[in-house]
Amino acid sequence: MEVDSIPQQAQEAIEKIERADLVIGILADLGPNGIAMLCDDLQTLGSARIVVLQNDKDAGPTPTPSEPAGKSSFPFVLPWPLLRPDPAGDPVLNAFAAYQAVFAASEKLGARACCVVASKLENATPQWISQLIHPLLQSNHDLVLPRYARRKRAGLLNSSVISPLMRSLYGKQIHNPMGPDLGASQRLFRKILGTGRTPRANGVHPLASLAPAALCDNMQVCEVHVGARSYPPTDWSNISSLLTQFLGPIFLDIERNAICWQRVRGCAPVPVIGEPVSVSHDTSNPDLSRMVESFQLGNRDLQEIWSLVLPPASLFELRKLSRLPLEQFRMPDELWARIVYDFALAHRLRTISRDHLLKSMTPLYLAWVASYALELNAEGDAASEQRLERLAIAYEANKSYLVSRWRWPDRFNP
Amino acid sequence: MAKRPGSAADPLWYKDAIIYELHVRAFKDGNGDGIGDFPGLIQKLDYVRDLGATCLWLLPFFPSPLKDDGYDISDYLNVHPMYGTIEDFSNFLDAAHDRDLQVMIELVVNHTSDQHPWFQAARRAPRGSSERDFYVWSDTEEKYKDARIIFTDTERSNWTWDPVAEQYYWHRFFSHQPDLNYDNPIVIEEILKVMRYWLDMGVDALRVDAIPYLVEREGTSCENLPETHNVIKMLRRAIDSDYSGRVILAEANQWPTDVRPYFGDGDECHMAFHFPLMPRIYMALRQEDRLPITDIISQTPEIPETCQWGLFLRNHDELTLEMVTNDERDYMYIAYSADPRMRLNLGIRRRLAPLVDNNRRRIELLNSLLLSFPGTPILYYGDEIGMGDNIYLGDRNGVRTPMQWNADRNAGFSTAIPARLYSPVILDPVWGYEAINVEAQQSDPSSLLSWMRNMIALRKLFRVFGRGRIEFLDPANRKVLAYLRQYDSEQILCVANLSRFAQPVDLDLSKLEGMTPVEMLGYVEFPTIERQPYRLTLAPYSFLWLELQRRVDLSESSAGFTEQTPINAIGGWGDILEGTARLRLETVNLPEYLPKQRWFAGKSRRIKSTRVVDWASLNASQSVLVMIEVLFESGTPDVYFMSLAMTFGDAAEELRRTAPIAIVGPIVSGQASGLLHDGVFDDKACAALFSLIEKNTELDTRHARILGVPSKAFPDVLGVEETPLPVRRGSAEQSNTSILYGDRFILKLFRRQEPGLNPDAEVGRYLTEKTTFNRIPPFAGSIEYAGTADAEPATLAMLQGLVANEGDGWKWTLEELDRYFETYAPVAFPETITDGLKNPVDLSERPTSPLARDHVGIYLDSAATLGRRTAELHLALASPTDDPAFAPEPLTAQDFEALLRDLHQHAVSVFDLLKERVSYLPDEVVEIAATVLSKRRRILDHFNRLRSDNLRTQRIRIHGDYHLGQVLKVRTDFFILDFEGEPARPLAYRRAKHCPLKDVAGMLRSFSYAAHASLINYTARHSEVVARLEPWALLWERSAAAEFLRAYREIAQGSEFLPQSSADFRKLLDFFLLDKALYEVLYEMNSRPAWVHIPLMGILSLQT
Repeated sequence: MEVDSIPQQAQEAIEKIERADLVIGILADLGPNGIAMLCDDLQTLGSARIVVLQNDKDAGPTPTPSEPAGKSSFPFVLPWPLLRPDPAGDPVLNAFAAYQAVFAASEKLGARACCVVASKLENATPQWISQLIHPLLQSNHDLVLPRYARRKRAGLLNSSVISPLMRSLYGKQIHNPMGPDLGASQRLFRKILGTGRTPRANGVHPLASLAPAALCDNMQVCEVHVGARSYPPTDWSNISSLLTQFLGPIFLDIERNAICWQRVRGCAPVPVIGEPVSVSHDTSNPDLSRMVESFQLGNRDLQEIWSLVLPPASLFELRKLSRLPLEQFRMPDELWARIVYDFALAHRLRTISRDHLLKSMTPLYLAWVASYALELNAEGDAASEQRLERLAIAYEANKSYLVSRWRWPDRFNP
Repeated sequence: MAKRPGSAADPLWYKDAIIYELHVRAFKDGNGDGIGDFPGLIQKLDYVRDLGATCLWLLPFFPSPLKDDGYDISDYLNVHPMYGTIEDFSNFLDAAHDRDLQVMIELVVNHTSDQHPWFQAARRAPRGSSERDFYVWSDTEEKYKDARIIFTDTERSNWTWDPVAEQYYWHRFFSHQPDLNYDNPIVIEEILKVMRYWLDMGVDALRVDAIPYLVEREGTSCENLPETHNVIKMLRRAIDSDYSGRVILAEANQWPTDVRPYFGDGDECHMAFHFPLMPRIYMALRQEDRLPITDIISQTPEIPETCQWGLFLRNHDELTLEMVTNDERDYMYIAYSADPRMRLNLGIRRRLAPLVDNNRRRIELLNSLLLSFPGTPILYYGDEIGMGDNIYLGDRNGVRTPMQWNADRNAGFSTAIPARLYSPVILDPVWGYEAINVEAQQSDPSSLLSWMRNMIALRKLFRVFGRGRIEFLDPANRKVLAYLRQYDSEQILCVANLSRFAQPVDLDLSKLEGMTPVEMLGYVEFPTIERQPYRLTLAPYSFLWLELQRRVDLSESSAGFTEQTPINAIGGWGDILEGTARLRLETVNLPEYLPKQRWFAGKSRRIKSTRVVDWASLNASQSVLVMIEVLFESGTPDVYFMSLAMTFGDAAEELRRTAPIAIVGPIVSGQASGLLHDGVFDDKACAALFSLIEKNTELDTRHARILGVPSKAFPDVLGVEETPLPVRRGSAEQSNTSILYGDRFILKLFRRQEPGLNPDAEVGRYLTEKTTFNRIPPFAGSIEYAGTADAEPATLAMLQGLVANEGDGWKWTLEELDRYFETYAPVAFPETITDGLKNPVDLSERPTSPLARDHVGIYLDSAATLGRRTAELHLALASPTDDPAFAPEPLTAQDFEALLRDLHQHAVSVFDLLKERVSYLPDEVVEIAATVLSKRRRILDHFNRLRSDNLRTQRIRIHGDYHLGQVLKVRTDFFILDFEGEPARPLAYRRAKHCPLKDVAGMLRSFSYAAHASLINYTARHSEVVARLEPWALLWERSAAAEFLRAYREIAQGSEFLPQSSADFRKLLDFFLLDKALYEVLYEMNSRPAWVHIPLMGILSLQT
């Protein structure tokens, strides 16, 4: 298998290590002593040969490590510029390259599994990373995904689109299908390496493809309870690029896997390991009225595009929604699920430029966020769990809508 | 050395492929010289990809004199300068692969052009030299005389004289295409070099042209020779040793059995065209008869797993009629080529759309067949937009005109002046490029192009089309073609109407009973398949693709329920039944759970949703009592009573193993995972239900109250036992659910709820508390649901005393009958006892025949006992009372007249249905069904004879669903059970008063059923004695019925409900017997067609 994702200067270092049982790619800043604490914790895994690829933007040309002398040399930490320091670069491509590099290094070292850590968790020591590793090595899971402690306004793109969409399509209740922290077995990262050419050529993104690839091949997937993820602050005034970066690869993957998800009926839970972690309450306070105004503006200016994507019934509902005062502003779950499905379909059909299409979804997404936040205004984080469960059920209930539209995408519909 | 992979990841990619055939020359001109080329083709690859094709098949593009459209190759290793350079081809290959398109090119290796350097060298080389022997030479034309001439319009011989070589050279096609000599090993080496050249470049597939003709042998047809197969095997070995994911497609215009060897044992060609199918599709369409298609498919042999048929409707050649009979060919010429110019060689040189008179529905129908038959579909460029042809161009050029891209000059094909085009574009008003072009159809969502794109995308979602096996159905209407495709778990039913008019069809899908067809284009669910014929109505030329989905049955697999998302139960019952978890319970769990329960009466209706309408906690919230409203897609909603409980840990695992049917769904509560399930499977919940009655408890529900009410008999039934009593669950669960408490009580839960008391509890309480009739299990109490103060309460459950018994009357009777048949199986039926076969009423009015008593024996005593108990029951229910629910009412002649009218109407509908279904009944019952139908008028007339002007009898509360299964054998006596009436009837009907002879008729029909059911069972083991035992069965039935009637009439004598005159008694009894038998006919037709003869015989017996 070709492993050309490894930078040339790193090849030599990898070759000196020769072989590893597990490769861990650390893209996140674990803080002072973080790597040391992690290495201490990894000692509990016994004699496993573990290689830690630590992102180090200052690493420059990869230093040639001294050859590991024996068992005591593991975990072996290899500084590596996994994430390119170019701030103007495409962050999706940047992440693609980082994950691909970890997978490729794992393949080169013949690792049984690999793990990528891209988040910083609040009030957590790096020991939580071991929790992602255990199911890979001890119970032969193929994909281990985090179940972050939820705050009601955190990670909403995941909660409102990515998670319920994947759950409905692929039939497994996964809360963070795109990680970004994850563990993958050898057969899974091999599969991803095998399908990935260049991201520009076919839009494959390992984070979007991992869970579908595992589920479509009936691989074993589990979740691990971890703490709350520190999300970068959301710039609500510029949410379009976020939608484009995340939904583009997901919609592409949906197109690629249509033969799989159209067979899936029902929805099953996956094993969840560990105990839920309690977190402090969400104190963020986004400007909801501006979100609603953005939606109203979109409803006025984007009708031409939306009418190419959405059926009259949805457009009619949106029109009614746009007239509601802020306190009554509620987007029905069924409407939102169908909007997402219709955009996925339009993406497949190339109804309009895919970039424009995803950007035109922004006011709709803001409308959902505003509706959700208004509804849960006085509620705690626990209420959001149940609210999002209802949304996920709406996605499931409307899956047949997507299937029928997908199979016969006639625009003359209700 | 590692094998060089192709561009597709799946080595069997060709089985799922959609192949698009095009000529580089005709597709797109990239340099404005009037001739299509590779740069032009690259511009249009997105179009091919968006259409949904996965593989491009390019007609020959090699250097050539072009006397046969490029099939006369003069250089195998280059590109014709008209089409570009070898670099252009390489660029095209990369561009196609970037779009996930595979590429197939031609390997024309039977012959070369006479301009090929090999031939030019050969004709000049000395005889016997290896150069000369590149081709097949002869001094005479007499060799290989048995080989036919293929191009009969142009060639007179397969030999042509070469003046330079001074010998004849062999050619199976045009004389300018000399055949290569595969007996020369150097030729084979050279061909291998050619093949490797293109495969090394990245070509995915090779279409091997004219494959049957490679080798010649004297005394043979020179087609399909073993030596030819050896050459093919060698080519295949060469590919397999050095390459992976590559394919050979054989062009062999032969019968399927002759093509089959080209697949070898999976070691020759991967694919071969199915030539004979194509003309037969057109024939079937024109004749509006599926036979030509089913006939040729039935002649098509199985092929190795890794092989595939290539299917097509049209291609670059004429619609070949080589593989049809002379008559069929004549028909095809008449039907599809009125103008002789349309004919060429043995075929018709026309495109798809003109062949079917440009009828959109016909085009769609043919494409639906192409896409759903077993094989890989091959589309010919332009047919996806319905392009026309030009029969005024020579040879097959009329179907090779430029692709029509838009309405601009030259159809957007080229920017050259029109005169430079390699071929004129089509210009006429119907077929011209201004009317038919890609651009117009791309902007029209209803265009043929859009339709094709959708259909191709749909086909690609189902591997069954490319990989599955086919099974034709055989409906009576031959204008309808119906077939099943099956691959792994995928099953698809395809139905096509070949007629220009709408057609009905009844499909025998009984082996697929229980499956739900889902129309694949719109994902629309059709009615579930049942045992009886599945009826469809098809619009003209319409087709249906139906995906057959199996309903997930939890009872089949304990893994089933794990596929559901757990309900979050952390908030307790309030959250499950009223909070956020309620949505999942109502919309997902209950709609899946309910249809699997035997007690659920709405199985034939599709559930839309459910709703928790009321509930109450039981036993300190460990379980609940719930009223569930079930909303259906049509019709009125039903309400069901359920008890629900939660179980966690090991107990949940145990339940999962022992009673998966009871599981409503998985639950999680904090860290614990468990199951939400029927509370009947929780002993504590069962004990709490008992306690409700015992302690006369009242529970507040959300909107009403639930009352436990003990009867006066409760203490007597309990006796000295102490509660709580051990709990067991009844095994014979049907429309209700039973819980047993020790050996004292049985609690019956009435699942389907209607407003008002359940008659079982109502009659049980009345008989226990108000009468002296004691041949019923004592009524011990009930649980009632009390809504508003003015509404009558509904019965949720009834508690009765358990009666020690020897089984129900049905089971006991069958055991008796088995012994009876065992005794008389060897004995011829004595002619002397023909009297014993008379009408039971007649028999009951005279003393019991000693012969009947000798043969039927003690069962007659039991029948008499049963008759007596039945009469006593009716007397008790007819006793005077102030209770309006039980006070007898008169039944007059006018009332009876109205009943007769209803029955007449019912009988007409039953006979109509029987007539409709008679051809689907098992052979052994068709005869008696036909007999009944032939006597239909006489039977209906019989109703008139049942009228009675002076009839006087009574309506009283009766059992309502009386048969041997409703009585318990208790030593030498019987106890009567279950006063609920026929469960399918509305509660008001079941609580209404009826003539008691309805019960009498029910029991007589039950005797008849017992006799015949036992006979069926016995003769299943001893088929040789069927005829001998039939009169014995009749003797038993009539004798038992007579004894029952005699005892009944003796006890009931003098009562007001028993008609005074024997004639009126007979008329009333006949009426109810007919009523019951008609009900049974309906039931058996839907459930057990092989048993329908039992009630039919009953109907006939009433006429004799």
